[in-house]
Amino acid sequence: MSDTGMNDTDILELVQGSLGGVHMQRPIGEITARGRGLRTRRRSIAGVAAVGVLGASTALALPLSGSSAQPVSAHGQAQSRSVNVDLAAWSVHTNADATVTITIRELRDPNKLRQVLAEAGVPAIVTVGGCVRNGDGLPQIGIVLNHTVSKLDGTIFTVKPSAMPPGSVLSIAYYDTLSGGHTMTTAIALLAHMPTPCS
Amino acid sequence: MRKRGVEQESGEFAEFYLSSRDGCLRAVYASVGDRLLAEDLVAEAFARAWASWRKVARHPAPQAWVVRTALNTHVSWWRRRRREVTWDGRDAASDAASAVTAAYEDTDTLLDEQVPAALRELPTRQREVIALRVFLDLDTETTARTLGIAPGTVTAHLSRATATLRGRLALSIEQETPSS
Repeated sequence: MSDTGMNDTDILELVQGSLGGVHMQRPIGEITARGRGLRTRRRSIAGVAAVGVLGASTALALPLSGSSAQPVSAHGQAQSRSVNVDLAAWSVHTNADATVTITIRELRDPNKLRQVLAEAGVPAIVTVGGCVRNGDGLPQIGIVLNHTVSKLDGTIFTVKPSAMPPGSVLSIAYYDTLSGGHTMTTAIALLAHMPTPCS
Repeated sequence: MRKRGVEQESGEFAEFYLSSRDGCLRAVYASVGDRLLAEDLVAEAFARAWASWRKVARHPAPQAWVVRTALNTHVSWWRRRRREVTWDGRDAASDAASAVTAAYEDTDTLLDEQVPAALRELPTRQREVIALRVFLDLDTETTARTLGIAPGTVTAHLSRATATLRGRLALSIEQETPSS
């Protein structure tokens, strides 16, 4: 290759100038909204939580109380919008990649959580110490549910609504375990259809 | 008082974002080789900067923090994809960037393709040094701290990268320069 007589500075200036037309287009609102969501995940609130992800064959056998079981639509998949809700008991945030991050800190307001999840495009049944007979547990739970963390400040998990099979429902049940201490357990399952309540 | 503190932080971050975003994007683009992927990585890095603004604002080189975070995110995303992407032993980062972003290729760009193509051919570490020294205009010491390498190594990488780029671009420069 021939020598153009350009020194190192010339070459580096050429390199620098070549990307002069590259500009960052993302509005700052999008950046700070995402940052707020990240910050919320790290917020420290008193309490202890543990996550149990139920397998393909699941059954909850606890006294019925505080459950909410209204699907968003009869056809299963909800119309979704970006959601950013932070309450003392739980948070729901839609991420830039359309996944939904849910943080549960306290055993409160299951019906409101279900409604917010529905708005975010996650059909769900949310129970607090409740009892339902499950539909079939689906193996796609591993694809729908990822990034699950149990920490002192809450149970955090991320749901991919687009991976939920049509008609499926995410079952979220949280209750105090019977271990003698103040431990909250969140059990999550992906059901093929809305479960029937216990009689 | 607290609200004023929050407003002040918001203003500081906004100023930082507006003044740094282009340089950070160019640095990451130079390193990963794909424009849209770079924008996603930089957006994520700035979001993390906002989430940790009190710490990042005190960093000696916040722009470097953003670029380093973006590059680390790239590695993280690539590792997640590795299960689905076959790898024939070539540079993994370039491979992942190409595989992930083939559908994103912006064929209507007005960019000069020669320089980005030449940058993509550099070894990863040389690309990163170029990204920080050239596009963020960081000094050798700061570049070394950001990448976790010795200052002498930064100088060596820069020298080798410049030599390679000179050879790679020389032919293109001659082709674009009319002979006298």
